[in-house]
Amino acid sequence: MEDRLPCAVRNAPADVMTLDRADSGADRMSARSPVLTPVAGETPHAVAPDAGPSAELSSVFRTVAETDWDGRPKFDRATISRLARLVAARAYAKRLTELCHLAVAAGASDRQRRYEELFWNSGPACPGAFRAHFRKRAASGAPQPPLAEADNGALTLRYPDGEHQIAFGRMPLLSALLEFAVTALGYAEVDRHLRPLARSDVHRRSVETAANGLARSVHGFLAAHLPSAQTLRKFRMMAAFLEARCGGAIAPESIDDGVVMDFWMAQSAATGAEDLGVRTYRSVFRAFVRFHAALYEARDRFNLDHPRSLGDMRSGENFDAAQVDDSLAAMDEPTAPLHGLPPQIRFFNRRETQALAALLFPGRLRESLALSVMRCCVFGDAQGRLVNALQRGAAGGDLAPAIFRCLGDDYVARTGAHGKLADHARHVLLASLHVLIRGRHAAAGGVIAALLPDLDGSRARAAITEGAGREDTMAVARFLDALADRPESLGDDIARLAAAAKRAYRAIAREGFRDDDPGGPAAVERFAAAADGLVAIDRALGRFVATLSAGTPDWRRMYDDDRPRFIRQFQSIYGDRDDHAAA
Amino acid sequence: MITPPPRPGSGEMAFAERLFDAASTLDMLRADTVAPRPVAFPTLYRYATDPAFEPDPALPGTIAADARLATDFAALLRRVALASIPPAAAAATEGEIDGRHAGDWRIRIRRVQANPNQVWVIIDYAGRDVDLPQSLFVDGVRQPLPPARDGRFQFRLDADSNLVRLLRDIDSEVFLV
Repeated sequence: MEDRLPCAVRNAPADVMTLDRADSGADRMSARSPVLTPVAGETPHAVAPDAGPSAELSSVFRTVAETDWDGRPKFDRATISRLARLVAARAYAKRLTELCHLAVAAGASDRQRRYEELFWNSGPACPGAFRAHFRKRAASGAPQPPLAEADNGALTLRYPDGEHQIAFGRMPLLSALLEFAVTALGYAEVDRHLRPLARSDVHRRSVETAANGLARSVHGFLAAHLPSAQTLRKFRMMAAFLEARCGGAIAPESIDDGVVMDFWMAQSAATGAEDLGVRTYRSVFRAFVRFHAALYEARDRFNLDHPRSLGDMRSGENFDAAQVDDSLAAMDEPTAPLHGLPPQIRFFNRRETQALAALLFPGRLRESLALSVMRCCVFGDAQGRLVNALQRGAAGGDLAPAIFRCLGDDYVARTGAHGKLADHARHVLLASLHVLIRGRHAAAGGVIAALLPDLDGSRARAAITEGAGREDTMAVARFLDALADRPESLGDDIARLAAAAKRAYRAIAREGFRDDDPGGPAAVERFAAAADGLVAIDRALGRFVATLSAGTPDWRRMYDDDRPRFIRQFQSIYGDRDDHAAA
Repeated sequence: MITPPPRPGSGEMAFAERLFDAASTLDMLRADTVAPRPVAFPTLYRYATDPAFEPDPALPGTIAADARLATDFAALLRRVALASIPPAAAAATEGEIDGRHAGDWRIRIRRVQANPNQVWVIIDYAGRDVDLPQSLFVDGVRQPLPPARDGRFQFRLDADSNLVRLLRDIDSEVFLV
């Protein structure tokens, strides 16, 4: 019986003592000793583990993301999300040039030519704040060359050797990029590049020189902090695994539940699996979702957009950063709504957010990886609990009981949990709609259109579309007034929806949702900013839950099949190596 | 048209590899981490430039304990200060000093006659600038300045206070912001 498998602990975290094993007896599984698949063409030097302290980079990024100004976030979630993609795609060079131009403008707007005042003394980074800063300085007579003029949309800089314009809408991202550079490199290092620009006779080429220097410094920091060697090795391992399995053909469509499981079974217990990030089922699952998305996007680009420019490339060459950035944005689309929700409102708690992160992935993977998602949620969570128990030393000497203690829901129960999560997402969306209705915010129309897709061509339908909003703002205002004060006048469907939204709001007792008080205009704006993301999450979850029940899969049988496999693999990973060598 | 499968080493695979790396980095940037957070630069900036800003009381100690942060903060103070009195300009005697002098600025430390446990810190300005400092910084420690009278700032401190010790330290740099 599996439940009585005694086994010692190995591959435990460093602070866990390796324990003597008891005799495993006849029930012990006959696992072969796993090895990492060698990758053709790799040299030991090329695959040497990167010592990059990536935790420090994450910490730097989180510091920027959580920077506040008198209790308000300095950067909104969309800006932080954009900054993350810019850094991840290494597509920051062009933006650093823009940042240097903005630093010139900032210095020129200050009597003492301190560019710092714009970035660190003008409140939360939004286009309006930057516009107000330059207007105020212009009114006080402070602007100096090369700052030439500012209108509602952009600033113009006139250098002796050229002109440059910076849109106000771009400034929050540039400010966030500066914040990242300063947090990562230090003020002294960044100032070394920007200080020479604080002159009235600065040239455009000097700005480009400063930007190149800054880009080199950022690149050096990232090179020292990103585990690119491991990532590259993991990609090639996965490619080699797929190639062997598919007979030489690698395509996104080749990735299915079997591939993910077999790869994890083959690699997770091998020496070096921890460094490579293939120890846990969750990390392997996520890696294959990324792998699939990367293959899909690359094929899309390769075949449709730029066949020559990509076709001639080889590994190690530099791709156009803009192409990488665009493709990364497409790959990030499924989870982007989750990262864009304003932090002041607790739409989802930590556990729900973790579950959503596993469930929000490209729709084309929904069916081929449905079982993998279930495995990730059930056994991935169990593995997480097991690792925590090992780290705490709570597993004791015998691994098997610890494994069984860490097992939680089965697939049937988890299917129900996913359904509840989808219900919660709908509930949150409805509650948000109530805030938007009460605040008479136009975003209410978009939510209603999403929740009532079959709404007929009534005036309500016309009024809630964005196009109608542009054409006739009065009509939209009348619609929003009616929605707030007399929803029944807009038809039964909308009246029922408004009533359901009100009930949903009153039923939620979380931060940001207060009884009978949706908050002031700022709070309404936050709900409006979250609306599109909540709609996307609601849709994705609804479709995923429908997929889980499509064809009435036998989740009970699948769980019973998987359970011993995972238990054996956990034994292989965290048990004693000699134990298996003797098997 | 049926798309032929890519081969490892092709441009398509190389691009996919680049995307995989970027997506992995994106996940890493968004990951929770227990690593200690660096001090956010806006906090340093406000501490340096806004006398009304009250930071975490631990901030001066954090600055003193972190070499890079101390370097950054000193660089920032050099940038925003109306006057700085670096160690070299302060050197009258080795070890401890009772005064500093640089440009139009002079700082003196004098014992309070009525209370030997306290000292006067007297800052004299002989220049003509309209802008006068509101804070004094020594090694990350901030001291708000009282209003000036006829170009003189004067305030009392305990003789054994950290700030007095730092002002007397020949190796410390004083900034007037």
